Amino acid sequence: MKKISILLITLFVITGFYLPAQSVLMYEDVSADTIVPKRGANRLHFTHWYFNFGVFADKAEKGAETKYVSTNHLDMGLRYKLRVCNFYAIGTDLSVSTYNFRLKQNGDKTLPDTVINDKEKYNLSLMTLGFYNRFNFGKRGNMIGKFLDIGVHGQWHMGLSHYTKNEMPNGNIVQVTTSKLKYYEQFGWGLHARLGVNRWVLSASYRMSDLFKPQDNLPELPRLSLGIQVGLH
Amino acid sequence: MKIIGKILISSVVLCFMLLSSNTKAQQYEISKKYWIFFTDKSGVTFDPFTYFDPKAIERRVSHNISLYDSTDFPVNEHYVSSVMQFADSLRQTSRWFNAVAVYAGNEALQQIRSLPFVSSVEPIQSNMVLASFAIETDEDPSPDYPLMYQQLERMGGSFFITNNITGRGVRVAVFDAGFPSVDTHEAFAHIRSNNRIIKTWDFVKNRENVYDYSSHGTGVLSCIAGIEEGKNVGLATESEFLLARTEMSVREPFSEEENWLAAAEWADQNGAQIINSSLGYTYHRYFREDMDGRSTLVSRAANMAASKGILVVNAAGNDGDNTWKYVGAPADADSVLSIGGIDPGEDPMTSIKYGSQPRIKIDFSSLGPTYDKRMKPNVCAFGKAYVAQETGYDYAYGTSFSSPLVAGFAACALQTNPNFTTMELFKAIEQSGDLYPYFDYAHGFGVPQARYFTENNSAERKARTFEFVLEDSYIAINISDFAMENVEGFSEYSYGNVLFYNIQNPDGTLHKYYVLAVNNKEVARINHDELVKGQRINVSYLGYFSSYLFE
Repeated sequence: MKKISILLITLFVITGFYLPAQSVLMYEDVSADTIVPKRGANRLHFTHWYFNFGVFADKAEKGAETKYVSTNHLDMGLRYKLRVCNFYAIGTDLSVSTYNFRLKQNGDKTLPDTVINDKEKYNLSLMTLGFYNRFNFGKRGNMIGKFLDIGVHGQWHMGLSHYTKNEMPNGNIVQVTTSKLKYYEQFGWGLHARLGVNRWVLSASYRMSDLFKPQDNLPELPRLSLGIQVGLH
Repeated sequence: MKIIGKILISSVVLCFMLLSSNTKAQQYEISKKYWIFFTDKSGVTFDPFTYFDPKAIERRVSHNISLYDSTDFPVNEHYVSSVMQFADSLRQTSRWFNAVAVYAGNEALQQIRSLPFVSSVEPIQSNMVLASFAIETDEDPSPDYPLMYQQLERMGGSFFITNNITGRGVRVAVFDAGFPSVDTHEAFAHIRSNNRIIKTWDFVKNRENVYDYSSHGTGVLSCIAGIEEGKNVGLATESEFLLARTEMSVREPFSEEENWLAAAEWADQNGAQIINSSLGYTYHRYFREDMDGRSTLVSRAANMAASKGILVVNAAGNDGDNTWKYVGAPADADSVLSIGGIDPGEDPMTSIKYGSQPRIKIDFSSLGPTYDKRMKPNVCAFGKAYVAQETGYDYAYGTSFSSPLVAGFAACALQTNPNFTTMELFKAIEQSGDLYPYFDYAHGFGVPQARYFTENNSAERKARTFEFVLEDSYIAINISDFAMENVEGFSEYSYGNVLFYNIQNPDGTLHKYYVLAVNNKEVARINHDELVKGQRINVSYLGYFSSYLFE
């Protein structure tokens, strides 16, 4: 009797696996689909990632002149937009960035000293929290469309390092990276503007605060950057 | 701080340079496009026998439509010239909406608004339209006869062909992005030789020649009426044609709604009985909430065309697999026959695989319903076709090609009964659908069938192919024992061996819908707690339809 029971249970389990199951080729829940979404490119809330590459475009103070193009920055951030109406929105974005300031090696150089190196640069790692006003242009549906952003941002300078590279007379290469520098400000702020069409954006930002502490009397690095942003949406 | 000022000023200047694609410097004022609507048409004169083509008069008389409908009267010339004293340039004039489309700056617009005969002003934006196609380059320039055959035979095209129903005498207007080689391609030789391209107009360039730019229209026209070496590419091989270029391009698809409206009025004036249009406006300009058939100008224009006795056949769109998902405008208009796309699947004769199995909605075909929950698309056809191109032939994907396949079908259907009114023809095409009376928001009533028109609307589908089994806690849909030969006019090749079922609300809208593969006797099991009283379970399998009311 026990054997028969085991056999029946086994058969039941096996057949259970082979019970007919629906093979769904297509399924739509219409009632769920007709709810007007609150999230979307031109809905109430919209959040997306973005990448930005920029170059510093203005001249640094005398003594801290940098090379164009190789003085640049790369940013990755998350942006949130709150739609107020079809032509106006407000938003915030949080980004992490790395800034590279490649110093020109000339007789005027005083940052951080007057020593001429084969290569010399500053690397700044920072986190930025920005707030912006967005002005949209033109009637559009659920898409970003054409816009102008004007905003302000605060920056936390997480780390500044100084790097030099020199070739010694004996052919050896000496690279020196100095971190935990004491002569830069921990926080800063600036203004920014962006001009975009959907995911493609031209960006500009200007650092209002000084990077170096006033008591060290160091010349300031460039403040104005122009860049290209790609929104991931 | 000076630098900051420079940045901001530069940004604003750049902004206007970038944002104003139609910028026209006039005293540093930006000129934009607007519809100017007038209050009345007082003082105008109208002679329908001068304005309309005889074919248009014939259509109006047969449909009992007045020849003196005020919407056909011209726009008051004095009103237009008064507006043009302030506007920069005139883009289009609409008799139907008693309006002009103009370029004007802000200051001029204020003056135009203050004119006593201006009722309202609406901005027009140049926005992207649906690029509802993809062409697959084929190294072999010869046509794919099996697919050409199947794209028509899926609609029972041979019933029309063998009965010599060829859309004879039916005038079809085709709105597209260009028709290169239509004046030379062998697929259209039979049309040219009989002078059945009645008129052409390029509404983008305002000129007669339409035989250049995108070859999308060439492919579309071939799906309506093409013939390759004696074999049909489309069904309406003896129809007459009006070719209108309304879109700038499909690959770079900036287009204007006012071109569509102007082309519709032109088609009406020149006696079109059917309009095929493969464009659609979606998220670039509108929200899903606008897809109610009333909010967009192009949908209102399409409904107006229908009220003039023209059947408007429009592609449902190719957004079914992206975030928009739904039909656009004007496919949302209630009087527009919106066409979805189905996968061609495997050719039942040659076993050539043209798509995935089964032959249900092709993945990109846009879904209904409209925002106000009307059924769309209405019917469907192949979403992949073999079509004429600028040179030779190519495979083409998109509801852009489903639409002209049905437009050609509609021309033939109209030939079978020239007394059909527009909405009678519309309803007849829906009723000929191989799922009818079953419907869902992916396939509509299914693929229209020619035998509905050639056999006195008597296509019979008697064999019971499934049954409802009522249990205490659920309702099962079980396959019946039946002989395949009894499934008249239908085969497992139609959609593949699949069963359609939906749950319908008491108000007639659908709550859910499914397409299931039939692998077992019991295909579906619907628990009672999934249903509310008054809902129906509608099922269609191999042409047999039945419904169960849950009480």
